[in-house]
Amino acid sequence: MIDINPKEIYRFLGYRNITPTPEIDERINVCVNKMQKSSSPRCFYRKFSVAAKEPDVTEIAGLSIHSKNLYKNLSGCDYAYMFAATVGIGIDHLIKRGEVESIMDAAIYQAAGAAMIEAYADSEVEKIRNAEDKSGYRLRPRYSPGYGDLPLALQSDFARILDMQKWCGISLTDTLLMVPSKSITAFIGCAKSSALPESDYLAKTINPMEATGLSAKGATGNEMISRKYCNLAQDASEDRHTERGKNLTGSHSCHDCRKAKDCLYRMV
Amino acid sequence: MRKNILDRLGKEWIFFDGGTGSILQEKGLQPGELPETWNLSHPEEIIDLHLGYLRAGSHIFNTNTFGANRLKYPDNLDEIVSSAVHLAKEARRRSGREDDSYIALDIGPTGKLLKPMGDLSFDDAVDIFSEVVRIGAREGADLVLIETMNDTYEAKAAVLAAKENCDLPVLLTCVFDASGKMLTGGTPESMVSMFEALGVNALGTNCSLGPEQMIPIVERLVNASHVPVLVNPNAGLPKCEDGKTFYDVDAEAFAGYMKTIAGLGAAGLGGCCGTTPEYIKKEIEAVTALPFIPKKAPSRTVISSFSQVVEIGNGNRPVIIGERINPTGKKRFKQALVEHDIDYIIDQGLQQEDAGADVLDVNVGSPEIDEVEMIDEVITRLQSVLALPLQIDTSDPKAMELALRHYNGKALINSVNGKEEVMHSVFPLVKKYGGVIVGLALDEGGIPETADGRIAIAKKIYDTAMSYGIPKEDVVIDGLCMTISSDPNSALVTLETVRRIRDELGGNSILGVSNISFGLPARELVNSYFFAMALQNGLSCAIINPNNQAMMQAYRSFCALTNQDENFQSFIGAYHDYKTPEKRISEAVDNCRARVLDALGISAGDLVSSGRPLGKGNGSGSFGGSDATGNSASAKDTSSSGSSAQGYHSKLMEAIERGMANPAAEATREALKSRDALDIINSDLVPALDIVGQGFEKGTVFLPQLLMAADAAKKAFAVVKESMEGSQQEIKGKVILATVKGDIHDIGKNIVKVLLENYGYDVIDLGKDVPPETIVDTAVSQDVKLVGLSALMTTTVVNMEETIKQLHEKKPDCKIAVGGAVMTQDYADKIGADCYGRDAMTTVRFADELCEKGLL
Repeated sequence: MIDINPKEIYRFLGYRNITPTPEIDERINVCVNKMQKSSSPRCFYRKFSVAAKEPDVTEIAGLSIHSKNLYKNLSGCDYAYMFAATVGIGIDHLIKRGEVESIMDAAIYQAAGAAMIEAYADSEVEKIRNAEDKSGYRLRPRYSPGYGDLPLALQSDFARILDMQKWCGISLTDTLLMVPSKSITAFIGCAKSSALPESDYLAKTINPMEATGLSAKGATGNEMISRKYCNLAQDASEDRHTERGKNLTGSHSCHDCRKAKDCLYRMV
Repeated sequence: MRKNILDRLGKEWIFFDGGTGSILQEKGLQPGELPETWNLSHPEEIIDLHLGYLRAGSHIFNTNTFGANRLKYPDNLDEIVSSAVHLAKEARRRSGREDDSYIALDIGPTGKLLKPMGDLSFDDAVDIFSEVVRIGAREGADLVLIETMNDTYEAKAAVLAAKENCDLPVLLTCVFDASGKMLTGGTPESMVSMFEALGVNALGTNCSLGPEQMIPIVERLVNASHVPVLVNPNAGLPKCEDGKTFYDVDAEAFAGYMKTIAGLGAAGLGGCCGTTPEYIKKEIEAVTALPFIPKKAPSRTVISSFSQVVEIGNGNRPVIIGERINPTGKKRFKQALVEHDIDYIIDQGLQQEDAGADVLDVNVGSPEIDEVEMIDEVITRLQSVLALPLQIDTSDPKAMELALRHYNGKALINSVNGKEEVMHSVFPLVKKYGGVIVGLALDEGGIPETADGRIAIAKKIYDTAMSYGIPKEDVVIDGLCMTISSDPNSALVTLETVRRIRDELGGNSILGVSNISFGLPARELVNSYFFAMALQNGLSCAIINPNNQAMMQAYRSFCALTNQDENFQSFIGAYHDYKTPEKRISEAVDNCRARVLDALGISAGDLVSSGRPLGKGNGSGSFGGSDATGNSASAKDTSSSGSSAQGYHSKLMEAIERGMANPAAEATREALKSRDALDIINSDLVPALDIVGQGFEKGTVFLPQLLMAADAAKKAFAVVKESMEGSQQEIKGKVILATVKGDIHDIGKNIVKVLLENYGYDVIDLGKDVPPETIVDTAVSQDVKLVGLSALMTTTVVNMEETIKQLHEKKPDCKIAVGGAVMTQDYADKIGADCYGRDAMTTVRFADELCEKGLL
């Protein structure tokens, strides 16, 4: 059973600070019960050291990520977790069913599902927080790909580095949407000290197109990431251990890599 | 000389290898680096990996191809897989265990979830797996091991790929969580039922859990399975530090647990993540100390969905198969088929589930439509919203085959009969895809008039099925219900047949009960009593309408009477507030009287004093069944329009504004008795919804209330539609809605759809993941002037831009509204959209604007 704050559900349903009528509250309760029964929460994370070499570039787990938001979020961090969690595909079934039977229920499942995954992630992060506390580390607020200027393209890296399908049963569509839909991936930084208030570590402008000023394609951000280990590493003539921050073929961005056409991470 | 592994599995202890990832990590594999690439870059390390396990004693060891498929290796898949098999062969040669070890072509998941939840089609998945199988078999693998499967549907694609592309033994292990569920809902029982039916040679579980957590799952697998059970746990649960993973169970403890698991009846044992040759060695030592005792579960008749198993016969209560998804004699259903109104069909399914059906019959055969396409679509959608097993009901072998191929589970198949031609065309499909087949007791000679005749045909069907390798427990005999109105003996013959199927043949029976009363009045009386009689004669399953009170009363009473309803839970649950028909009629009359008196402003006392007898009456009961707030029917005028002083506000309007769906439907039925359908829509339905819509825009009403009102209006509309018979609601215009290519979420779009329909628009819902071309073609061919598009992420908004571009080119008079989480006003303007759908109502208002200007 995942503890969900009803206020969060109301918020996702658009109520802001107002409590809904008893009839709707009752409906919400029925839906939440069904959801709890059909959920299969799973979580997985790995801890990596973090480095910042150039301004706005963060290095972690063989990735070089150009993002102002992530740079700020992880500045001063020695380590960061790459974290993934899901509440399972049961909720997606309930939403689908609601779309046929009662659009109202579907909307509730959608909102409650969002509240549920957030609550689940919070509870798992709490465990990490307690463990890190013992070593004197404090956690930064978690930051997920696709928000602000942190590229959505990182989802495929999360999938690969965390082996998300194996450990959490989370897979990605061709367009980097997570399935099950109520899933979360995030970086969670660990620092000895954090000078700024928590909200400062999160993006002010959330919409990626607004935050980057780029087109949708650009805002997806494949140009902002370079990777040390591509699937083409078996080409023996390439020296795999290239200069930090550059990929296989010496360019700074996977976008320019001459093997981009065949690459696992290629974007359409 | 190496024996065939199938001659050994299930007859002696067989050991698998252990983990690959952690060993390669020790050798230098970086987190996120693809292990299969090492077949080409580090061949000696791979050979060493295999040698470790061969020397530890593993019989079956896996090629380094777990993630090898064309999605990850578009350029050099053949090279990767071939080299993997060669390395395995080389390792085997060096180990000196040529005679005693087997190379398993290791196949893991593709990394993408299958439709409809994900975006990979079943057929594409089969294709992807087939490629790997062909290469591996060609290079000389000894068997195919499909492992770490999270989704039964994807596993089915892999199993079919293996069966259709080689003759090698096929083994399957799936991933369960600690509560015994697979990611997409499968249970050990449902998995066993489905994959035994598909003909895998052995099955079991691997990964995700340590051996201790796997024990309850192994017990369930062994209890259900008739093929050898395989168990490959992780070395406990993982803990991660700095990109490295450590496991919390050591080799000694692991071996101890595996000994326990062996004792439970597992036949094939090994290890998964975190285990090493040392683990396997200790495991082999511990397990081989035990004598090998083959275990096998008893024969059962089971069907399954992706997550539920239904057992037929064997002391289980009789199975109810809902018959409503069938066009025969159902005008509305036929209409839905022709109009491609799949939602209506799905809704029929959901209603039957709520009414207590265990299984749903799916019959969509109708001359006006393509049955093959339709059955595929309906089954795919049904299995995405409900977990009931399905009965594939068709006489078209092509439809049967496609439905069986795409069914996620082990289906009930209706039907085969005693005719040679039919048996020889249906049985091969049943053998290939698995399933429980219903055999009708008729043949070339027609329908036998005696039980003897039908039993003889039943025997013929059993025997012929057996000759195809289909065991008796996978055959259910239909005793055939012919109507008593043409043959008064026919019920007796049927009952006798059913009884003899149970008593003489030891088999399971099925009947389409409703047939028995055709031509008589009061059909439900005959049907329900016949149903009880058939149940008493041992009927194992019945095809009925679970929404029919009389039938379900007979069923529940029978179960209660025969001790098949523990604590009478089902009976009491359904009937604790049961009222006899007389009482119900009396109450309804009272209610009606009270409302009339109210409306006329006369009290009951006045009538009595005027000498008219009143009978019982208390003037305020709840209105026709459950009403969310228990309000009585008072002071609401439903029979005339515009006559009340405070402005027109009917009971129907109130029901819609308050979002009360059942009262709204009731009120509509009432209103239809004295008013015209179109009048009800225009004076009540639409204005009521609009009051709510305006409230939403003002911020006094919130989304849930808007949607509840929409739900109520939808129900009211359904009542009107059933009565309209050809006359059309005035359509304000056609609107296309679609979630763009690459996007599989459509709840936002569906909310807008419900609202648009309620407001009088004909919505052409193209669904989700829709290519630009489809949207443009539909807009052009149907002359649609408003298109609504939704996209969730930056990645899919790209396809939205393409769609808009094409629409501007090919249908310039079409206006476009856009919405979705990532959309903003700015961006909508930038990409050339005409309207930014900020919230649920915006698109509706935009449509209304266009309609007023005559632009639709």
